[in-house]
Amino acid sequence: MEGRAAGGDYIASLLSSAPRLDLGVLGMLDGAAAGADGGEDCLERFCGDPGFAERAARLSSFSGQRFAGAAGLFGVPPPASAASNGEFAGSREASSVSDPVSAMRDANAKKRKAPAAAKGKGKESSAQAGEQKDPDAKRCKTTEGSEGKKEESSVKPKSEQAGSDKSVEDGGQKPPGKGKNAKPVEPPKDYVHVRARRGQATDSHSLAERVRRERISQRMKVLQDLVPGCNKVIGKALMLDEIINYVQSLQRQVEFLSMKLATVNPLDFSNLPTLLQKDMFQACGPSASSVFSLESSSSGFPFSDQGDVFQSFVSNALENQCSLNPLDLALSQATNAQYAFQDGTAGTNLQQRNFWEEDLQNVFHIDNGQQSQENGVSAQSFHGQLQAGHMKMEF
Amino acid sequence: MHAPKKFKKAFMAQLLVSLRAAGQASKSMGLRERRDAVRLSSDVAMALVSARRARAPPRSPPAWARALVARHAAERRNEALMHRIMGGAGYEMAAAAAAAERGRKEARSRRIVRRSRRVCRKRRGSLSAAGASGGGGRCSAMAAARRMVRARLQVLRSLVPGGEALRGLSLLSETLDYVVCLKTQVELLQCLCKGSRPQLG
Repeated sequence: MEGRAAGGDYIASLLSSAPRLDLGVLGMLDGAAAGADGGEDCLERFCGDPGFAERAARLSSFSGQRFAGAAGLFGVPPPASAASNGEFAGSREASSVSDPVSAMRDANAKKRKAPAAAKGKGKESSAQAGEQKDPDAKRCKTTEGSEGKKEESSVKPKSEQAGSDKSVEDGGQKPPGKGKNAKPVEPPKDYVHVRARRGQATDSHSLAERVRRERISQRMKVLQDLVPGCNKVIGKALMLDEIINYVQSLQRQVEFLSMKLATVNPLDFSNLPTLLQKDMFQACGPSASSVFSLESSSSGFPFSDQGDVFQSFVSNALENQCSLNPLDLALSQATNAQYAFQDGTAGTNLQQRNFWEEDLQNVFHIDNGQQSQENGVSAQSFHGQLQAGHMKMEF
Repeated sequence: MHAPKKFKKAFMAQLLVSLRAAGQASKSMGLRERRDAVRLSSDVAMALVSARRARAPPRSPPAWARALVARHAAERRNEALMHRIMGGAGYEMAAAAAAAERGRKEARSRRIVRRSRRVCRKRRGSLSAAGASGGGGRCSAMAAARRMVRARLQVLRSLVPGGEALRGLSLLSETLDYVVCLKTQVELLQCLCKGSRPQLG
């Protein structure tokens, strides 16, 4: 937004110092992303800030300084802190941040727990950039912008209020980034105290509010990375729109895929042996072994006279039992062995398939060992039919 | 991107286990039932693995996981299958389903409170809006934006399982987790699908 643009020199200095951060960030990001469970973990790692207190102290030293000095300081601490916290959430943030003002801001309310808190300048910048999209950003802007104004009146505590904002809006519409000098008003508390920027309210409500908003923008950022196509959109509402569409499409995909899986593969556990991996061995050892005993015992059935399907299937099963195929490889092997169904439309072949499926299930069931003969025969006839149709069995 | 290999593997393993359980369940399932069984098993697998994963670095299991399982457990006919998949712990999930009902009530009451608060705020807002005409246009735009955001949050709440009772930050976190898991679920299901057909051409 307009107001955020600070002096160009500051931005330049920021950017110049950014590369160092970027590397650290990217490293952190990769590490975080790789090891993380999801956004949660990433955020945790971002927020995990051992050096938080020292950083806060550092930031407090900013208070009396101007841009250039602050920039210098800004450049200096990151190397120490970048490793500990990938706070500069993405190089994107650092480079696109055009608000040094936010960089000054500490992100923590007094009453917030350390781990979950968005801390430090990086978070500030990210949060600020996030808030850019926010309609609430207006409020921030006005609060930032009004220089020298004690913002008791401007900030309505903990409300994202149109009404309150109105009164503020006409006040300081141009939030110049010049108001960087933070007000050194807060006495040090037990938690990391937030250094309010100049022209910002310091009451606990607004601070908590700010913190909360920054957290929200963090999450939105991660979501933005996750949901494809969200990068183009700016604005909470539009992003939420995208997210909603994405979630809906994913859910629909799951339904469709499960339907497909249900039609294609009636015998659900036939997948198991072919997809077996080492991990799965360890994970469900006893159960897997029981399945395999089932398979091997079934192979003892008079399958040999039946179609190649079963035999190859069984042999594949045994093979894969021993080998540690990567999942895809195992899957491609599995494709050879499977009795092919016409995929997708279940309509016409459903009857046949159901019948065959029952037979197969009978076949593979331990109890119905005796039926296997006749079932196998009839199944084979069906199998022949289908094979004539569309199967390509590659062995 | 977010889902590490371990998660995928564990998920796949669990998925196969549950699918096997589903396969054993009944031979004479219709297509829809089978589809539901597949979906249920994959959902349960997802929830279980994510809960297991959340236990490692001690964090609370995601809210959607419980709600998802509870949603499935609520249907009587799934009970046998769920028992098989999850062991006797399925009962715990049934209890969770009951808790979900209570949670919904709580969410409802919360919504009522919120709505009332919103009404009060609107009144106040309109008053001050009438007062300061300077930022009037902008303010109404902001209010509209906020309304849009809220509407969408509501939709999101309906989408994400267990999201009824969430608000704000937690909702976003849950969405995040849920999206990641959905993504992996889709990938794995596609894998399975591809794996259970012969390659065409």
